[in-house]
Amino acid sequence: MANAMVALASLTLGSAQATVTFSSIPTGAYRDLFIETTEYWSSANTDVGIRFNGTTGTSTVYMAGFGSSSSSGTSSDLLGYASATGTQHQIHIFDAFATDKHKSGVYRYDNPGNFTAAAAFRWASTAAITSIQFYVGTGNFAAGSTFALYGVVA
Amino acid sequence: MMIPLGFLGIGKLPADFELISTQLLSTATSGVTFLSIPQTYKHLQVRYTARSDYASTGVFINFNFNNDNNANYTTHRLIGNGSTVTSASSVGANSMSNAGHQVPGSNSTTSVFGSGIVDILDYTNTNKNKTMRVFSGSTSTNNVALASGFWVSTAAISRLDLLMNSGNFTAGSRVSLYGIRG
Repeated sequence: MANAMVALASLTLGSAQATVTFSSIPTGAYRDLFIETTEYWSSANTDVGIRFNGTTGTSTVYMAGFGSSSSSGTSSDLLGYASATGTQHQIHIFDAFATDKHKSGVYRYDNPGNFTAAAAFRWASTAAITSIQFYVGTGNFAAGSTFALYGVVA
Repeated sequence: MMIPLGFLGIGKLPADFELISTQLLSTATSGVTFLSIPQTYKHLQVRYTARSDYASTGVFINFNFNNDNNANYTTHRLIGNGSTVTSASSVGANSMSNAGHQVPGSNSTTSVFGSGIVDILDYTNTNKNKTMRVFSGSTSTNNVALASGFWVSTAAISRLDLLMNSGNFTAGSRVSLYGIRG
């Protein structure tokens, strides 16, 4: 039986850049997508954002633990806060190409120097996902940051 | 090989992550059942995107193993609702009830589904009671949840039922079962 999770693209940054984009994402063979990142920063603390098909309109609800405290909140078009010590994201996108539902999923993000967090998101569009872009609010993703995209058969 | 933890953990993804079965619902259905689960894997993973037709903004999904509907289940969950983090539990219940977050009901925005990942570990091992963990959420119900579940049985799991706590799974809901080799 074939593996149901297949690597589609992988990138390790050789130099700093402000955005990272997975484009021309293949449809048909997969239903879900999974993305794993390790992100480092060339500047001070900033927010990481995501855009599907180059558009905004992604809402998130999160919960996070910061040392002895915890919090929950919502945001728009943001995956979470990041710091210079690095951040990891693991993002599950369900039915990424279905045109009968908004695109939704869950993700973990961890900034080991500061917090651990879990979140859910929704891109309020029934369009099939064809591109996914990560961007930073301030500065750039530093060299050495990694981004990997997987297709999940269902 | 590191267990993928629903791919929550940092590390290598498994080489053998295989689709056992997918149920994509074309009509409203009260529950989703996987029968005769192969006993050839180390762990199972369920991935779902679902919505209920119950007139509510949010509905829980319950899980049962091997058609056991007796008071043999315990769950604990941690939920963020967009303003606070809370926890709750269900002890000695007739199913792995309220495991995770609430998926959208019919009073929620149309075309919105909730999604989740359920890991069932060492499901064939007859020396252990069975455990599972859930990572799920939906911005429609403004819930993100981490949950754990415990079934007081050393039986190998051969059947899995997902049932809406209220109403039915709507058309367009999808539940996929995967086997993970180890």
